[in-house]
Parts: sequence; C-alpha cells; structure tokens
Amino acid sequence: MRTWKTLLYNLAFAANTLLLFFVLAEQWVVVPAWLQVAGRMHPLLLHFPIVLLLLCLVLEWIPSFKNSSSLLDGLWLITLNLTVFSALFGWILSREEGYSSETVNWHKWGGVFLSIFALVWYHLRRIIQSKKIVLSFSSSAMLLALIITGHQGAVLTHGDDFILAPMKDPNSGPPVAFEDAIVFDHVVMPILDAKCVGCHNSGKAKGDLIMETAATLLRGGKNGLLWDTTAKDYGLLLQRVHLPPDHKEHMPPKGKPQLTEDEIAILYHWIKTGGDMKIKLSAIPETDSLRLLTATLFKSEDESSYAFAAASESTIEELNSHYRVVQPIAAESPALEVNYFGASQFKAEQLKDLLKIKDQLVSLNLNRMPVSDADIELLKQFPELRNLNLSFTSITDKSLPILQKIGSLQELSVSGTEVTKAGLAKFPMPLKNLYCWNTGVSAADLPALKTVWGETRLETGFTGDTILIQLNAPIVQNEEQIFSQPFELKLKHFVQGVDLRYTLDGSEPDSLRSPVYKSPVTISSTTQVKARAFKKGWISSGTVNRQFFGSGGKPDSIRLATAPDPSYKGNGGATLIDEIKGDGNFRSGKWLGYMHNNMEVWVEFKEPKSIKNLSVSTLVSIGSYIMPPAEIQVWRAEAAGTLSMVARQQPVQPSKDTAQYEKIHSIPLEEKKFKRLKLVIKPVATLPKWHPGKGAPGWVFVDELFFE
Amino acid sequence: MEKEQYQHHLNMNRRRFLSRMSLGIGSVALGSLLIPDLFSGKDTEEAILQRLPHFAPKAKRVIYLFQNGAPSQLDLFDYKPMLNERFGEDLPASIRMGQRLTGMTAEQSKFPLAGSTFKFSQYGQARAWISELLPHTASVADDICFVKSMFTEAINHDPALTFFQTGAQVGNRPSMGAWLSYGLGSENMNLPAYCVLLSKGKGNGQGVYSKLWTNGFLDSVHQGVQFSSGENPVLYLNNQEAITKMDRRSMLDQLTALNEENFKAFGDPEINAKVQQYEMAYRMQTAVPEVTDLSKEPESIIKLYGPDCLVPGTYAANCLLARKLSENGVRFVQLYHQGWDGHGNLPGEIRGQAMDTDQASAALITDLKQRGLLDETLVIWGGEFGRTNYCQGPLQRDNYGRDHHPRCFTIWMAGGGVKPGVYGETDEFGYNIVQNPVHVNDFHATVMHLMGLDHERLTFKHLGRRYRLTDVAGTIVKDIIA
Repeated sequence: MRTWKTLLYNLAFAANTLLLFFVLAEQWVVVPAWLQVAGRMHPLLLHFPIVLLLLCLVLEWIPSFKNSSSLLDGLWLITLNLTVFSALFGWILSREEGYSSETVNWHKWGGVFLSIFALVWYHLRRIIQSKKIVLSFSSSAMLLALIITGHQGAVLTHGDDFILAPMKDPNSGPPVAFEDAIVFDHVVMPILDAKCVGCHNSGKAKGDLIMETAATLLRGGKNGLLWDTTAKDYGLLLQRVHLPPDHKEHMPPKGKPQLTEDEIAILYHWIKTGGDMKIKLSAIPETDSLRLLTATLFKSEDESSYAFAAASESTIEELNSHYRVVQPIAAESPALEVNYFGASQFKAEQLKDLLKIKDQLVSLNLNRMPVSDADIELLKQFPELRNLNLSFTSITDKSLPILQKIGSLQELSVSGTEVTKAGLAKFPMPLKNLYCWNTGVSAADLPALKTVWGETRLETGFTGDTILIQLNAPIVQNEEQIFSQPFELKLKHFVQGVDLRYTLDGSEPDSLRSPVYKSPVTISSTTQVKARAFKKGWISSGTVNRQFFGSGGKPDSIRLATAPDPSYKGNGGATLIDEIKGDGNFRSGKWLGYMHNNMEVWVEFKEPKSIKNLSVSTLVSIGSYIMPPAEIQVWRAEAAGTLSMVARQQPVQPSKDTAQYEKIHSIPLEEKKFKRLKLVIKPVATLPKWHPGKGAPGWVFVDELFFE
Repeated sequence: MEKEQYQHHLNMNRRRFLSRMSLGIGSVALGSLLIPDLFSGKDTEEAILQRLPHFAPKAKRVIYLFQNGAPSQLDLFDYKPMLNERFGEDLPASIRMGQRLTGMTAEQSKFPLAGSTFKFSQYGQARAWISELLPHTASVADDICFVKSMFTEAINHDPALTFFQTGAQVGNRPSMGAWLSYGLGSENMNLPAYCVLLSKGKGNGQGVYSKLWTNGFLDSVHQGVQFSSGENPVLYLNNQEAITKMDRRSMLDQLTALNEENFKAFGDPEINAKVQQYEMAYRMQTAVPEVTDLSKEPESIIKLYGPDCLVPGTYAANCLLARKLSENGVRFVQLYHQGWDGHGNLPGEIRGQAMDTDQASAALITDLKQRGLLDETLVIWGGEFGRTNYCQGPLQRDNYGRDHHPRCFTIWMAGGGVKPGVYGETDEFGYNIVQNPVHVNDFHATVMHLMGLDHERLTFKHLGRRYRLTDVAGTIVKDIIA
C-alpha cells in the first residue's frame, strides 16, 4: 500500500515540476501532434479535480476524517494527480491555435496555482489541520481559486456571459453588417458607453452631464454644449479629451480607462463633420478618414464565411496530384480551392473525383484546360462554388444555362472562349464579376448587356483593334561588322506576318519599291544596310541601320610615325591590324590613344594593291574626353617617292553629352594600285563649349584599320 | 530534533527535493531524447511542403517588377513644383538636417535644387500625379496604389537592394520570394515557386547577383530560379537525341535509389532537396514549353505589351512571361530591370528607361484584370531607394543628375487586395516624409499579410534563434489594404 502511495506522490510531484517548467518555458516549447490529443482530453479530465478537490476540502472539515485516515490520504493523492494532469493537458490545449486571450492566461495560472497549492496542502496537512484559522484560510483560498479558474474555463468554452445571456437585451445580438451600420449608434455610442457613461449616467451625472442617449448628449452639461463645429477645437468634449493626461480637466480622468488614439480620432472626425446622429457608415465617401477608421469594426457582407464542415484530410490528400492541387484556402478553413495545371495531363473524366469534396469546393481553376460543354454539367453539383475560372477552355454558349444554375457563383471568367454576346444576354447570372475578354463580346456590347446583367461588373479587357502601335525595328542577326569573305545577311522579326523591306544603297526603305526580305542576301563589299518592318494594322517600324566593312587586304607591315600616349600604346602599330576589336574599356590595351599630337601611321604592301575602301574604327566617350577625330587624311606614296593626299574626311562632332559608343569612319578611295600609304588622324584641339572640360584638348582612340 | 520532526511532516528534505526535481527534469530530458524535435520547434520537411496561409489570403501570387538602380520619384510620381520655382537655389539646411550623403555628392559645395523637366498631370479617381514619361501607367492609375512615402536605411545600391529583397542589409538571409515559397509552398508542383527574370535598359546600370534571390538558411528548394534571357528561358530542357522519356525516367529512378542510399548513410537533407529538384526538372520538361509558348497569344496581347514582348530578354517579354508563369501558379515572379541609376544625364536616361518599361508594366495590370486574375495577383513596381531633389554635377534646365536618396521614394502596388489610391506624402521639397512613412520592414509585413501570412509567425530557427523576413520590426500598413 505504501509503495503505491509513494509512487502516486512521486508522480504528482514530477508532473508538477514538469507543469511549472512548461508554463515558464512555454515560448521555447513546441507541442507535437500526438500530445495535442492529450490536450484535447482536458475538457473531460477537468471535472474530476473540481469534484475531488471540493470533496477533499469538505472531508478535511469532518472530524472523523481529520486524523489522517488512510482513505483521505489516498483520496488526496488521486486528487493531486488528476489536478496536475488536468493542468498539464490544459496547458497543451492552450498551445493550439486560437487560445491566446487574457482569459486563457488567467485560467492557465489558476490551474497551475490549484495544482501546486494542492500539493503544498498535502505536505502541510498536519499543520493545516492543527489550527482552525489556517484551515479556514486555506480552504477559502482553494475554493476561491477553484471558482475563478473553473469560471474562466467555462467562459473559454461557452463564451462570456453564457449564464446570464437569456436575461439580456436581445438587441445586442448578432454583429451589425457594415452596410447597416449607423455611425452614431454603432461606432460613437459604444465608445461613450465603455469610457464615459460610467460617470455620466442618469444615476451618477458628474458635471450634470448624461451621456446615455442622443438627446441627453445634445443637451450638454453644466459647462455647456459638448461640441461646436464652428469653434477652433470643435468644442468642450474634444477639448477635454485632447488635454494632457495629467491635466485636472482631462477626460476620462486619470486612473480611469483612457480613450485609445483610434477612438479619439473617430470622435474627432465625427464631431468635425457635424456630429450627425443618423448618417450611415456606408454613406460616407470611401476615402473619408472616419470611414477608414471605422470600416474595420464591421463585418462586411462581402467577407466570405464558410459554415460547412471540413472534408477529411485523407480525401484531400487522395485528390492531390502533380497536376491537380486541392488545398484549403487557409489553415483551418473548411473551404477548398482546386487548381489544374498542365493541359496535356488533363483528363475531363477526372473532374468527377471532385464530387468527394462537393460541399467544400469554393474555387475551381480550369484555366487553359481542354474542358468542353459536356463537362460543365457536373459543376451544378457543387453548392458552394463561388469562383470559377474557365478562361481559354473549349466551352461555348451551351455551358451558360448550366452555369446559371450554380447559384453560389460570384466570380466567373470565360475570357478566351467562344461565348457570345447573344448567349450572355440570354443567361444572366447574379455575379459580382464576369470576365469576358477575348470572346464574342466587345466593349460596344456592354451597355446592352448591362441592362440584363444588372450590378455585375463586366470586364471586356483590351482588344486593340482600333489602336495603332508602332512595330519594333527588325533585327540584323549578323553580329560581326567586319568581314573578309562574302557573307549572308540575315534579318529577323518576332512579330508574325510582317514584311521586312531593305535597301543596300543607304536610301530609306519604303513599303512599295524596296525589296522584301525572304531569304538571306549575300554581301560582298562594304555596304550600308537599312531595313524596316511593315504590317497591316500597325505603324511601320523605325529603320535599322547597319554598316558592314570589308577587310580583304591586310597590309604586310604597319608602323606608327608618331608615338601614342604611353598609357594607351597597346601593342604598337600591330594593334591596328590584329583583327581584334576594342571593347568598351579604352584602357584594355586594344586601343591606341592620342591627345597632344596627331596619329600618323605608315602602311606597306609588298605587292602593289588597289584599296577600294579604308575604314577607321574609333571610340567616342565624352565623359572621358574621347571625341571623334577632328580630321582623317589619307596620303599615298607615288612611285616617284612623292606623297599626295588622296582623301580627307572631317567627322561630325557631337553637340551634347551622350553615352559612350564606337564609330567606324569609312573612306572611299580612288582605285589605283600602290604600295605605301600614310594615314593622319587628328584629335580635337579644344573641346567644345558645352563640354565640362571645355577648352582642353580632346583624345582620339583607334583600335583597328580595315582595307578592302 | 525539532528540525527532523518538521522535515518528517513535510515528508521532504533537500536531498529528496533535489532527487525528485531531477526526476521531473529527467522525464523532460527523456521525452526530448525520444522525440528529437519535441522542443526544437523545427518543422519537418513534410510540414514545410504542406504549408498553408495563416488566414485567408487576399493575394495568391506576387509579381515584383524591381526597377534596379533606383528610379527618380521626382521625375515620375512625386510632383514638386517648388523645385522648379526655386530651381538652382541651394537646398536649405533646415530641410537637409545634416543627413547622410553618398561619397559622390558629399564633397559638393552646393546642393542646387533641380525641378523635373517633365510635365505632370493628375490621373484617376485619386488624382495621382504622374509625369508625361508614363502615359500607360497613367491610363491604369485607378488600379494602382501609389505609396509615396517609402523609406529605407541603406544609401547604396547593394545594401539597399539586399535590404529590399531579404529584410537585412547584409547578405545570406533568405529573400522575400524564398520566404513565401517556404511559407506557402508552390501552387504548381511542376514549376519552381520562385522565378527570376532579368532585363537591362540603356541607362546607367547596377549589377544584380544571385544572392538577391537566395534561399539563405532555408532549404535550397526555396531558391529563386533564374530564367535565361535568350530564346529558351530554361536551358537544356530537352532530352538529348536518342534519349526517350522512358530512359530519362529510369535514369532518374536509379539516381534516386543511389541518393537514398547516400541519405541513409549521411542524413544530409540537401540530398533530398537534390532529389526533389531532379524530379521537378523532369516535370518541367513538359510544363515549361506549355507555359512559355507564345504562339497562342492573341494579337491584342502583342499590341497590349508592345511588340518588344516577343523579343526575348526585353522587359516587355519578361512581363509577358511573368504573367504566364504567374497564371500557371508560380508563387513569386521577380523581375529586375537595370539602368535607373541616373547620376548624370538623368532626363535622357530616364526617358529611355520609361519607354522600355511603361507600356509593359501597365499591360501586365490590364492583362491580369481581363482574365480575372488581378484580384489574386499582387503586382509591385519600385526601386531600392529614391533620388535627391538636388543636382549631382552641373545643373541645366534640361539636364541634371540625381544622387541616391533613401529618405523618401515612391513605389506602386496593384491588385492582390491592395486599395488603389495615393498613400503618404513628402514635403514640398520632396526630401523628407511628412505623412505615413512606410519602412521596408513595413512593406514586407504588408506583402506577407496580403499573402495570408503573419510576418511574426513565419519563422525559421537558425544559429540558435528564430528569424523572420521582418526580423524584429515591421508594422502592417492597414490603410492600403482593401
């Protein structure tokens, strides 16, 4: 017998330690699912400790039980265990969703107190029994704790005022819908009731002010009327409310429950607009502060609520696949939404599987699935379906009478289907929104449909028939600007059905005379390509302009007659004919840079050559003071050894700051055979006035020369 | 003797107390041994994949049009005629209040006020000011909520971008998309929950790096998947010649078996993540071509987004692809458009940037709306900070530059349960916020709220403490929620 008692006692003690640990360390503790089952036993278990604790209390007062009879001792031990396990299970239950209120807190600590108090009592039984006053005191404490804790628990389960509810005013019944709310009755008065009427009522009218009804409020108190919209501070009430809290006349007085900031703001805005006693909340403009502040207090009829039972988890799991996702709209919501993905994996007969969740399905997305009119019939069986997406399915007007029968439907999308205006006119539905873009319905049909569809918002979207937009320019797919062998010019455009027209002589392509691009065009000499795109219903594109430079004749030797700047000397003259284009970085060593002196280059061919075209590739980077050359001169060495200038070009200088770019200057030459050539490239002597470095000399950067 | 009697009454002494105490603690320890996760609060892999919104969400998906480099709010949305009236005058010290500047303008002796060279008009029911650079955005103003009072803590691109993306200025935290993927999972199990698309304008650009779409300490399945900007958004999707779908399947099955062996030996969760990624890639082989196929788009769509939407790698093409991905259940599509960093030549550069982005951004809203998807898709447009009201470098009537300005800037949101209108206000100089400031953490909290997540409850334990996207801050901006 004794071993049983020791065991029971130790168990109770350990459980109490655990309880204390859990309660103190609860923010670090996560309850696993299987323990939640124990937690849910709390409402069952808790009745034992209530009864047993009361029984123990009573028996402690009965003299014949006083002397530590073995029966009472055993009863106490059982009570201790039941109490502590009720508390433990209760704590576990409190960790579930939705138990976070102040009441839970009180109930929890009450339970902990009861459990530990009972344990302590058991220890000190002899001491407690020995003095009547101690016994009375302990008993009352226990009784009080029991009542409070028990009551808090009942409040949690049955709600506040459960016991007295039948005697209460039936008007304070269900919450007011936003659409019915009156500002004074449902917003202002509750604030006053909670924070003011306690002292300003017909029984206790402090300052002769009674704030119980609209009439008494308007009468004011001994200091006069409560509000005055013509006054700067809108009168007495707001004046008192806005006083600093320590001020003698601040309302509500120090020590009483204070108005919150939102409540003050509500009173302020209501009084500011005249303190209308009748105005409805929904009559106030949507952007008005008062509406914004108060709208959240009311449940709008728009808010969806779901009053049906949830489907079983195994059913939901069974319906899920990689191509059909079935899930609750939120944690702990019974409402389910279903999305289909992957048209190639869709099988219409599998829609029948959804009948297993027909009472829970609120949203069904069949966007782009091959659903036909025959499959729609099934949807009638979903009584809660509110949101249905049938965009780009194969349905036609035949589906409309079936859809009309789904009374719960609020949102419907038939965009991209063959639904027609006639069909929609015949089968209106009481929807909030109907999306019918890219169907047989256009914006012009809306007024006619509106008369049948009433309040439903019809969305026809963007059609673009009448809107003219410019095509984008064609794309030249050849990336290399320099060629040594003839190549195929390839043009491309991403818009289907455009005409690409091009010219090879530098003239603007037009939609009549210029050739239409059909297949790649061979280019064999330095050419300027211009191309444009044309399509009916579109504004023709801008012109894409690309130049291709031939480089057939590579010289046999090259020599720089003037030295480049030591920082930008690259690999000397060889840099210019290494067929490596420079990049955006002029410090890369692929560029030669000159500032103070002209660039002079000697070029030599072993065999006399005829050069048709000479191209100079340069960089322009205005922020780095790199400008186009001021002048390019080409000199030819004649057989006699004399030099004669055969070409000269002064490139156009930019007139404002622009982003960095590369530019190839092409210089046509008279066809004549020769061996040696001198090239002079002059940098800009002084930068123009608009340039940040005006007056200073400019740079010229060259990376490559091409001889065709 | 008295003491002994007392102890006897108590049936307790120090030794017994301690031994019983240890029994209690011992049972706790035992419990935690039996169930390793009993007290750790760490979710099992399965629990993460089954995640649901905490409450009914307003938005199911996000498309974030990130304007990388920081667009000038003063030339697009925040109309400040005062800056034109006082053109060239020095920014009053009473306005600047000695606030931090970047190294690029800190040395300037003057801070001349630069009014925008662009014309502004008011649009929509909320009479929102929008400049002539964004005519298409103006046309959908009634669907947009302009938040004119955003502010951030960072003053340079990298930390500011990282802050916007991950909720912290230093790297290695999970990005917003990764958090949403972790909290809500993927809608469509055949596509990644978080996709990233990049494009580049001609303006002065700033880099974007994969750390911006990192999973951080979350499981690597939550990482953003960057799509290629070429003609094939996902590379190596097709089987090699002579490999059939069956071959691929059996190859993957073998591979999975080997990986499972490995997992048994090492228990590294990354092995399982890898297996899942292989499986998803397999399903993507059919899903991606279906999603990215543009041939079934009606011509009105091409006109709506502009013909550039067919040119791969452009912002317009990314917007169209973003709509298609989102429509197919991708939880978070992140676009980055580079080139907004207008330190010099701002008017010229921003004109180009606006041309690249305006039509397609507005088109995305119209397009989602006409399919009935705007209500459940949140579209966000914005950069990492704003630009200064004073000029960087030499000031001209029609040419100026603006430096970084973290103290106020404008972003906009549309759809997904956001209430259209204008929120927040800056002072007449467009320098400080005077009403309803919105911090980056507040923005994150609000977006998560719209997605049905409580930003204080979506946590992950790492290095001994729990982390959130908003870490220890963030207040939901209730006023902009419909």
